[in-house]
This record gives sequence, structure tokens and C-alpha cells, in this order.
Amino acid sequence: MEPILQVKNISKTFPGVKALTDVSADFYPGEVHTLVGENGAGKSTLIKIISGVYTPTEGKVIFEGKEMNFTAPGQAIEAGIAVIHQELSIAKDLTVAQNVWLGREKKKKSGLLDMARMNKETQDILDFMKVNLKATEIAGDLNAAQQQMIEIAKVISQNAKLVVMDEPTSSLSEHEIDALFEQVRILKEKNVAIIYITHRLKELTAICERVTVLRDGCKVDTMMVKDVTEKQIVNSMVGREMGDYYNKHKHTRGKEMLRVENLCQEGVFQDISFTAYAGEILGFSGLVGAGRTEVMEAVFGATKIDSGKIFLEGKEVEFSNPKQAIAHNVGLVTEDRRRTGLLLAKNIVENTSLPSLSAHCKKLGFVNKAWEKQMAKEYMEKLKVKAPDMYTILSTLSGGNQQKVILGKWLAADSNILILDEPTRGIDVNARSEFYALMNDFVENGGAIIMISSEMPEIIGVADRVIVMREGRISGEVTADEINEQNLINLASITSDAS
Amino acid sequence: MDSVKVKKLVSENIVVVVLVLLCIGFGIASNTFFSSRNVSNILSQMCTNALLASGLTYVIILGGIDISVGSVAGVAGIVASYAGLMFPNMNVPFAICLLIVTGIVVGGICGVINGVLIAYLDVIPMICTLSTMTALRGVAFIMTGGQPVYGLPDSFSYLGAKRILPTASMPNGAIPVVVIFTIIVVAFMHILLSQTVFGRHVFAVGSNRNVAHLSGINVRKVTMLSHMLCSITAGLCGICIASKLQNGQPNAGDTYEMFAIASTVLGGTSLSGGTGSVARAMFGCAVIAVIKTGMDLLQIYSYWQNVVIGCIIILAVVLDMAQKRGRN
Amino acid sequence: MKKKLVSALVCTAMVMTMLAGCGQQQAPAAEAPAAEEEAPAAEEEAPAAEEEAPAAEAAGDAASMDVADMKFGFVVGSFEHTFYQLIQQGIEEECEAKGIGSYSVLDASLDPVIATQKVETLTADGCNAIALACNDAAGVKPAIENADADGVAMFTFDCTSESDAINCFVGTDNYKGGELGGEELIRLTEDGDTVAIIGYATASSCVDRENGALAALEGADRNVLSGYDYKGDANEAQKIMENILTTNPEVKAVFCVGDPAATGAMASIKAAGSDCMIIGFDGNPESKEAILSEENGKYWVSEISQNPKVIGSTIVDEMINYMSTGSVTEPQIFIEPYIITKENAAD
Repeated sequence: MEPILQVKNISKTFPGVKALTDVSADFYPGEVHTLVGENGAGKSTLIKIISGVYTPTEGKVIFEGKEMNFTAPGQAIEAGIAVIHQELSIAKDLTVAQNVWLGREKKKKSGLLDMARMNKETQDILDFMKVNLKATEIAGDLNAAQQQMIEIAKVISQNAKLVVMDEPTSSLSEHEIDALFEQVRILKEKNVAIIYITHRLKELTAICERVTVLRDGCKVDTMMVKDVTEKQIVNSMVGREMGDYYNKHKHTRGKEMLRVENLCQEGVFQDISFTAYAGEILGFSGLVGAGRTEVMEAVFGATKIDSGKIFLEGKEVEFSNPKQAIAHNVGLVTEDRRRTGLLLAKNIVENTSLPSLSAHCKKLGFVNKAWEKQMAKEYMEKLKVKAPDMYTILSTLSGGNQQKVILGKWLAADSNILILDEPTRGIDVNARSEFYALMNDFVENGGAIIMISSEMPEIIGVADRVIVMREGRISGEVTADEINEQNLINLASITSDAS
Repeated sequence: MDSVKVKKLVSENIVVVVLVLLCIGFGIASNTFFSSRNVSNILSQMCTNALLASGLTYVIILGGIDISVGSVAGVAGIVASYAGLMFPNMNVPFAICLLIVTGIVVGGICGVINGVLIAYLDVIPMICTLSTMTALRGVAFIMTGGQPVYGLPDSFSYLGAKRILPTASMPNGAIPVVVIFTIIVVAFMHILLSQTVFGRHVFAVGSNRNVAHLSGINVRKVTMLSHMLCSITAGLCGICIASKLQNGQPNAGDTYEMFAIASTVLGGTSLSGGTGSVARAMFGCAVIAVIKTGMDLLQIYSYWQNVVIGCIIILAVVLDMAQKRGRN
Repeated sequence: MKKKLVSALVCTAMVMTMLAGCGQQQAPAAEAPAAEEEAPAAEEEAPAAEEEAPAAEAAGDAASMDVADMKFGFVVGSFEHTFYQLIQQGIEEECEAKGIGSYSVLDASLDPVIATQKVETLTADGCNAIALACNDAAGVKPAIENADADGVAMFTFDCTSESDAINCFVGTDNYKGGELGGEELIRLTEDGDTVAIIGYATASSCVDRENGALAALEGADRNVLSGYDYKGDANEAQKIMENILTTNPEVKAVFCVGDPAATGAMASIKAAGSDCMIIGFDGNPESKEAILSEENGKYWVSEISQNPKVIGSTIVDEMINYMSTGSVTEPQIFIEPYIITKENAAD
């Protein structure tokens, strides 16, 4: 059988980061080919190259025997490559049929919309899919699973030859997943090639023929699902040598700093209890979407909790906004630096002083510029921020230096509890190593760190204790020698339900 | 290195360059342009626009807009005129206090309305102030029945129309009182924005609301106060117009918001928020005042003046977009 | 960086070019080749005039200024109204004819704030005398008094303001015009007929016209409909006339206190198929055209005409008078309106 799509020796470099290195793979019609790998392994980069969002730095994409040079996503769709994203792209106010034909509307000779024909053709597809949906229903009234059916109907209407499905089951119930698999089988019967991405390894045996494992932007192996066990796949996903750049210290646990009891936020997370101690790095592991970020935002007062208690050094506190948390020396380094961490258009001084400005102001609310400068200078030196001067605009700094400025701003605000959400994302190896050293310094001086990380090696290499979350709940806690990838993956993923 | 620095300096202060070029141009074309009388005249004509722009700078830095300033000015002027009618024999200091207090109170009330709607009820600033602009203009006409409020004592016009410090060539005073008043207000607004924690918070919220919120800044409060400041300066603008005309006009300040927004943007305040300066907005005001007065001196037909000012506004917005592109 | 700089400079250049361009175009619009030749001379003398501003006033009082040294400023209600355009024409023609050293005419856009600014600009430009149309009498009063205090001789035309600073006012005798309108209503109709008057309640000149017409109609055997306010808006007048025709279809003639009202009324009358006749007021070109036209002339039969060109020339004459002799003919000069019908409309 001829492959419908071949990627050959693909490499993709972003400024400072190599996302993919020399990846090759073949995809066959009528087959489900799964890509697995940790976050950051390069799955989404590969998909974006296939669907024309990115152009590869090196290598070729060959579709139906022809080399493809997509410069825009529309060209991929025209060629017959469709992508169903994790975040569905459904226009909620339009009907099912209008969504299916969005951007490719059928017209009458007069140039007016031929709604009757679109409704009919959509209904035919829905009937073929054996889905109990009407073409004229409003998409916004449907649930997530039904909306996904719209996406599949769209793919069928496009006569796509290759369909990419990015974690399609992440928001579906077991029952709905079965229904989705039924559709995947229908697509297979139509000889469509499917590239499937999932974190739930159990799904592999249900619908997949082939699996390709990616790690750190490289392809580890491509295997036939029937020939391998789940365990073998996990091993090839994680089997990485751990560099010693984590520079793991054995910390001595100090006094209790932060205790959280039965924290709940309706529909987001439930029953979260944990304690963070001085002199300790507490890791939070789990899959993306497990609710870790949401818990930390709630602890920081950025979002409201429905029930539960927070104690600082044994005293109960209530944070209804971040200002109160900051006043109690809690700092939050957010996941998305550019969106929620930094004033990119402002300089180092202004960014460093931001949370502590009001606490150090002069009479009548005037900014204490001398203090501000001295503070910025101090932390630039301490954290070894590489920048021409303290008036450098943040957007011109590298990711690592930006992250140091964020850390500096919380140190300047006298934080003794630091919550770090994916602190080393998009930072190169050297900067990471420096950053871990700074974290070690911080806890050794009596601070407490809570670090969310989706990178297993990082959590293992840095944390003294790890709490794992799954679907809004704490699924377990591992300490000391028990912190290894197998344990973490078991606690984080659905597969452990079976065991 | 030096030439790079010079270029940077010029591009950051483009409005000053434009102003200087315009002054040179008009100075060559008209020999009265640089007379002390005309300079004093341009300053006095800048005042209403400068007051509006000083407050607008705050809300535009926040990434918002306030197009109700002209209507707020109209209402404030009318309230001040009615207040003035109650004291037919008032002296000058009393009249000045009455005007300023009315301007602050009326502006403050309008600012609370805008502020609550925008900061706490999350109404889009453009829509909110479009509505209050229309509603307040209606209020102005209801209060007056569409007729000007007149019969005010001469002391009422001291703030807006009188000049002090006579010189040989200007025996009735070289400095309009309204210029001094405007300088005080604008200086206050400039220092508040550039030197205080509140001002820094305005920039932070305008640069990135999420970051500001997560850095412990009360984003709603900052938004609310900025809109109040904007409306208060609009109120002060309104009382200056009423005082200058010595009566209250229901349509005073109509369409002034466009010139004020244009001045602010000309002064380098980005419509997408995050950057700006009250002082530079004043250069923007000066550019517009110089163009208007200069073209009058050259007897350029008023139709052409509208075309030129329209082009200047387009120029300002294009510059703003160009700078944004440069940043990304 | 470079790009920004260049784009900014280009834009500036564009503005400057535009300024230069319109300056050039403006010169012929002033219909004054003579003025162009004289311009440099006037400019050379201007600084002297400015330095001696207080002295100039003394000179004015001493009533000895030469016509060529005079610098006059005018602020008309609006460049967009035919009536003011005609006044402007009268002013410009008279200034050229009398050889005034230099003069400029500015547009107040019917806004007292703008009018005030224009007076300030003209004062700063060193004008010896300024004349303005006070569309908002109270609104421009401080401006008039401030300019007067600066030693500028102040005049008003068309509408005036109550101030001692005003040396002379030239305008239309609106009450007299209204009487003429009333007499026309009587002439065009017969005893027992219904006639209407469309007024403008907030413009004092128009109120005078309505009162004059009512006075003329007193004692005549006519059923008079009045008390309408067309707010200066032709569209509003059209609605008013529609209402009149609905409630009083027998109406024979209507007197409109302004030409926009007549234009609006005519639209309604034609639409209703009525043969009601119209008497307009102002004497704008559109009224003459309508009266002469075969179709519209059936309705719009008569016009009370102001004499805007004469208003313009008279105010210039009085300003010259004041500057050279220190006195004016009369503090208030009313230019009498006259009636236009088919017979004299072509003149």
C-alpha cells in the first residue's frame, strides 16, 4: 500500500528552540496513526507543519506523491487535509449546516445562498454517520460531543483524504468516546487516513493501527499497535537520560507555610488539600487540563473558590484578590509569560517594581524612584539578568531573562511562598539550569516553592515531593525515591483506572 | 551610535518636530504669527482642547476611549451658568471657586456614571460613552430648553476671558487667566500620571490587564478613577467655555471630543493602550491650535481647514499604527 | 525606525504642501489681483501697526487714518449659507473698490465659541476694525468687549449684540420686511380667505418678521394661521406645511420668514396638489429662480428680499467712516427690504 502522506527528515527551529529534529513518518489511507509523546515532544509542531500553519526549516512533506509547500492553512484544506482541533472551531450562533459549509457556502445561480441544498446535503451526511442530529439545529445548543460530530461532518463534506484529530476525546465521557470511535471507523471505511493525538494510551488498542512516539522533538520509533504493549509505549515515551542540570538538592523541610483544605471550584476542581513547607519544592504534576493552574490561581485569589480554607503559617486567610495574597508575601509566576506575566512594552524597572510599588511609595502616592532603581539593579545582579541596562524593554529580552525578571519582581515584593506555573517553558537549557539554582537558593533561605510542571524529567529532577492531579482532583502524592515517571504517569492518566 | 540616538529621539518626539515645522512654515507665511499677541492667542485657544486631552490621555492609555467629554463639558457649562445666575453680585474669587467646584462636581458625577458602566459593568467604553454623549447632550438641551443661559455678571467671565500682566504692546494683559488655569490642571494631570503609583498603575492596566490584576492592582478601581479624571477635566473645560462666552450654551463642546482625541493620539498616546504622556498630548493640542490659527491668518478658506485637520487626524492614527507595527 | 521617520516627514510635507496649495487657490477666490500685488506691502506694514497698537487706537480716535493703512477683519455667520456668501461678496467688492489696505473674512460656523476665537485671531493679526454677525448675541458679547478693550473698533452686521463697544450696526429692518410680507398676503388673497405664516421662534430677526406680518394683517378680513416654528430647517418647514394642508386645505397663501421654510413648504404644497401661494423672505438666488420658473413660479410668487450685498458694502463704508472721521452716520442702519415678483426677479 502506498502512503498518502510522507514527512521526510523534518526539522523545525524557532528562535532559541529546536522543536523538531529530523522526523520522518509515513501515513496510510484507511489507517489510524497515533502520535504520542509528552507535552513539548513536538506533536503539535508536526501537525502544524502538516496542515500548513508552519513551514519546516528542513525536510519535505509529500502528499499523494507530490511535494507540498503550503503557505497558508487554506491550501491544506483544498488539498484534502482537514484538522479537528482540540478547541473546536464552531460558530455557536449558526446552525449545524451553516457550520459544516462555513466559508464554502453553496450558492444558487443568482448568487444567493442555497440553504435548502446545504441543509439537505448536511442531513445526508449526518444520516450516513448515523448521528441523531438535525441540520437546522443551532450549534450552540449542542453538547461538546455533538459539536464534534459537526466537525466530522464537515470533514466528510470536504472529502478530506487525511484528517488530523488533536486530542478529540479530552472533553468527552466514556459513552461519547465510543460514539466518536464509531465515526472514526466510518472514516476508515471511506479510506481516509487519520492522524490521531491522545494522552490516553488505552484508546490505542481500540482504534489505532500504528503509533509513532516522539520525544524532545525527535522520533523514537514507529510501531504497529498490535505488536506492542502499553507499557512498551510508555517506556519509549519517557526513557530519557536525565541530565544533571537540575542540580537536585536535598532540602530540609522547615515549618508549614501554606495549607489548603478541601478547596472546591464548581466544575473546575474539587476537594483539593495539600501543604507546602519552607525549604521545600513541592511539584504539581498531571496532564494539561487537570486543573493545576486553576487551583493555583484560586489560591492566589485571582479566581473565587466555592468552598475550602487556606492557611498561611497556621493562620486562616481569605484572598478575594491577588492584592491580598501579595500582601501576605505570596507570589505567582504564571504559565503564560507574555499574556499574564509581563508588561512586554515596559522596561525592567517598571516590571520589577509593579507588585510592590504601592508598599514603597512616598507621601501623596509619589513613586519612590530611588528605591525602584536600586531594587531593579539589585535583582538584575542577583539573578544575572542579561540586558544592556535596567531600562531595557522586556519584549527585547530572551525568554530566560524575562522569566528572571518575573522572579525578581516577586523577590522584590518579599515573597516567601512562590507558585511557579511551568516556569521553564520555552527556555533554553542553560537558562533553565540557572533558574533551578535560583529556586534552590530561594527554598534554602526559608522560602516555599510550589512548581507546576508538565515535564516529567523536570518534576523528577527538581521537586522534593510531587502531588499529581487528574481531572480536577488530587490523584496521589509521591515523595523521595518514589518520584519516577512510571508512578507519575500512572497517577496522571486514565489507564490507572483499569489497574 | 549618535545618529541612531538622534533618530530615536526624533521618532519619539515626532509631534514636536511637526509643531516646529508648522511654526516655521506659518512664521514665514505670516508676519504676525510670532507676535506676542498671536502666541498668547494660540495659547488661549488651546486651553479647552488641552483640558480635554489631559484627561483623555488617561482613558486612552487604559486602552479605552471617552467620546462623551464634549457633552460633559456642555452640561458642566450650563450648570455653572445657572449657579452663576444665583449670585448676581459675586466677586471674582467667588466666581472662580464657583466655576471650578461646579466643573469638578458635574464632571465627577458624569465620570462616576461612565466609570461604573465601564469598570464594574464591563460595558465597552466606545458604546458606553457614545450613549452618555447622546444622553448628556439631551440633558443639556432639556435644562436650557435649547436656549443659551445668559445675564451673568462680569466676574463670571474672569476665568475664561480676562488677561493679566499688561505689556506695552498688550495693555489689556498678555497672559489669559484661562491659560494659567489650564497649566495648573495639566501640570497636575501630568505629574499624577508620570510620578505617582496611581499613574504607574494606569500604564500597567493599559499594557496588560491580566498582568496588572495578578500583580495586585485593583484594575476596576484604576479604570473607574481614570474615567472620573477624564470627565472632571471635561467639566473644567466646560466651565472655561461658559466663562469665556459669559453664558451657557447647550451645544457647547459639541464635536470637541474628536479634536481632543486627535491631539492625544498626535501626542504619541497609543489608541491600543499602554503608552502615552499628558505633556506630549499638549504638543498635539498645540499642533491643532497652530494649524487652525495659522490658516485663519493666511485666510485659508474654512472648508480647507476641515480637510487639513481631517488629514492631520488620519496622520496621527497612521503614525500610531506604524509605531505599533514597529514594536511587534 | 528609519521607516517611521520617513513616513512622518512625508506626512508633514503633505500637510505643508496642502497649506501652500490652498493658499494659492485662495488668492483667486478673493477675486483680487490688486490685493495680491498689495499683499507684500501690507505685510511689511503690519508689524509697525502691531507695535503701535495703543497708538493706532489713538489714531483712530483722532480720525485721521488713511484708507491704505486700514486693516479690517470680518466674521460672517457661516460660509455655507447663501445669505452670508452674498454679504461676504458685498464686503469684498466694497473693500476692493475703496482700496482698503488689507482685510480678511472668516467663518464662524454659526458657533459663538468659534466666532470668539476668530475675533481673537483677527485682533492678534492687528486689525484696526472688526465687524461680525452676532448669531448668538449673548455668546459673542465678551469677545466684542475684549477686542474693544484691545483698541479694535467693533462693528456688527445682520444681527447685533447689546454692548456699548459696538460703534455701528448694519442690518435688515425685519419688522418692515414682515409688514411687506403681510401686505403681499393681502394683495394675493381675497376677503375671507385663509392665510398662514411659518415662523422661527428662536431667531429674533424672524420673530420681528412674523410680528410685522401680523400687524399688517390686522384689520384685514383674513383667517390667519400662525405660531409655527420651523427651527431654521427646511425639512421641519415641510412637515409644518403638510400639517397645515391637512387641517386647513383651503389655505390660499403662506408667508415664510426664511427661504429654507419656503423651499420646504413648496415641497408639501406640490405633493398635496394644492394651489397655495408662497411668499418667501431673504432674497436668496433659489427664490428668484423659483419665481421665474414656469413650474415653481405657480406657487412661489413673491419674495421679500433683504439686501445682503448692500449690508456688506454699507458696513465697510461705516468702518471707513469711523476710522477716518471718528464717527458713523447712524449707530444703527437698517437696509430696507424690497419685494421681488416675476416682473423684477430677473434684474
